[in-house]
Amino acid sequence: MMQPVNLMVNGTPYELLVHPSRSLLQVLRDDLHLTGTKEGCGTGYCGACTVLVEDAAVNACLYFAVDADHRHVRTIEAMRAPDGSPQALPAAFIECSGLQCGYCTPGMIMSAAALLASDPSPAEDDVRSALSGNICRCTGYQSIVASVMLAAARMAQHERQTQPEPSPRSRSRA
Amino acid sequence: MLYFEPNFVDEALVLLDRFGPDARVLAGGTRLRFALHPGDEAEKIALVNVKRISDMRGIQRAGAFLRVGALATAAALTADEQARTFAPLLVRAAESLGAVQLRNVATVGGNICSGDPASDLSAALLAYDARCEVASSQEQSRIVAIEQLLSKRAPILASGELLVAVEIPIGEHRCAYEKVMTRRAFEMALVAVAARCRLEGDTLNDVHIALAGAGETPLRAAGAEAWLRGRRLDEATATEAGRVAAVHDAKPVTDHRAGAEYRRHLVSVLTQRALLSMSSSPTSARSNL
Ligand SMILES: Cc1cc2nc3c(=O)[nH]c(=O)nc-3n(C[C@H](O)[C@H](O)[C@H](O)COP(=O)(O)OP(=O)(O)OC[C@H]3O[C@@H](n4cnc5c(N)ncnc54)[C@H](O)[C@@H]3O)c2cc1C
Ligand code: FES
Ligand code: FES
Repeated sequence: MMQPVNLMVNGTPYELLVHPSRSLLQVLRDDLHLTGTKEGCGTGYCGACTVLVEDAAVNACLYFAVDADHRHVRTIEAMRAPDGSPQALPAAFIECSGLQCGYCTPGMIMSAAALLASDPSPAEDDVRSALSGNICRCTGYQSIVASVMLAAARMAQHERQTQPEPSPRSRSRA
Repeated sequence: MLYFEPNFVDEALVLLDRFGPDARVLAGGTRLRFALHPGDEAEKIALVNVKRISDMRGIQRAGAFLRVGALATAAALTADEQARTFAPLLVRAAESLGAVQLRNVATVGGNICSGDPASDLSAALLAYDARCEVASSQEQSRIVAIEQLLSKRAPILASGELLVAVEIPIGEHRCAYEKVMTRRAFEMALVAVAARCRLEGDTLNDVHIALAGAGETPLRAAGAEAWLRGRRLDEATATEAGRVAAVHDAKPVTDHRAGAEYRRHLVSVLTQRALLSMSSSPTSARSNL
């Protein structure tokens, strides 16, 4: 029997009827046509399908779509700036050649996004550990780690530059 | 296929009763997903998603126990201060489970109820002598020793039963978790050894050793535990205990991932390592906390 599901994907609400056996990956790709998220193994063993559910990285191929009801999902499609240009993470992947065939890249970027949200200035080891659930068969990982480190540095710099002036109240107290 | 999201344990039990062997409890779903095969059979299944049941959530101290809701994820355990203080062995096992993506979703209840012989959290809970709160419509709620639950192969629970929480006795102890696997992050342990003890001077007391991947279910190394009681912890003791665990306690099987003899060897080496590392590990869960 089909089940009504309310999904919030990249800020857009969707009302869907979903068979309870379907995975979040199937719904994202086949029903919502958000094909940025890839299916590699389909069994939890590669990380190509990584998306964020309530800001936590999960394997969309293992996740029951009905379980995502009323939850926020973020996919690779969210990783662009309002003007359509790539955000810091995908931009750094392009700059550092963090991809070759590109099949693992959406998953890599979402795992990295989850890491940077909780730890904006990770050490290289933290990056490797955060990406340990993502397999790449092309790059040898070196350039992927470099991409994430570059993105972290850029985002920190941007943060410093755009930090608001101290408010008048806190200034007067100083 | 039918789908339900009960709000309370009682409501879930009514559903489990109504659908009997066709009911499936859905927790994280990381195991269940591939236990459901498409086709006519799957159409009869009633999925019972238990995520709304607040009694099955949370990690809190309850008297002399740390109560961990069956829905606690591996990631929640690793981030929880009380778990880190009172159940550091369970936290280590949780840290070693899969990759980030899996830890964010995989639950304690699912780990036990999957009945995998190499389940990390089950092994740690065995070494803690944890108690399990199991509910069914026949008996409102019964407490079962984890060793009893894990003494048979899957299905761990009878149809109609729900694992609500596990309770870990709080007490001062040292612990160690040693694990060998072919690939980090994706493979389950070939063998893992979960151990805890108290040391008075260098005399071993209250030694608990659980083995994962060393039989058809996770199991206690009762022979090695008995042999160790009251002995001084040193290299020779650890080596002999490893031998006892490998020869007397382990009942390894050969499968596509490793042969029985290799697993037996791992039991010996990892038991030795676990014991030796406890001689230098800090004591946790001080009783004055
Ligand atoms: C890629 C991959 C890597 C893995 N690596 C590891 C690893 O390193 N270590 C490890 O231990 N495991 C590993 N696993 C196995 C597994 O995913 C975990 O053991 C996990 O803890 C299962 O929890 P879940 O919440 O996803 O369970 P689910 O899939 O939701 O449930 C599993 C089973 O238990 C039943 N169940 C769940 N909760 C309850 C409950 N409260 N009461 C009654 N029945 C219940 C379900 O009906 C189902 O039969 C791995 C799995 C995959 C796919
Ligand atoms: S497609 Fe999901 S982990 Fe490989
Ligand atoms: S770039 Fe090809 S798999 Fe990673």
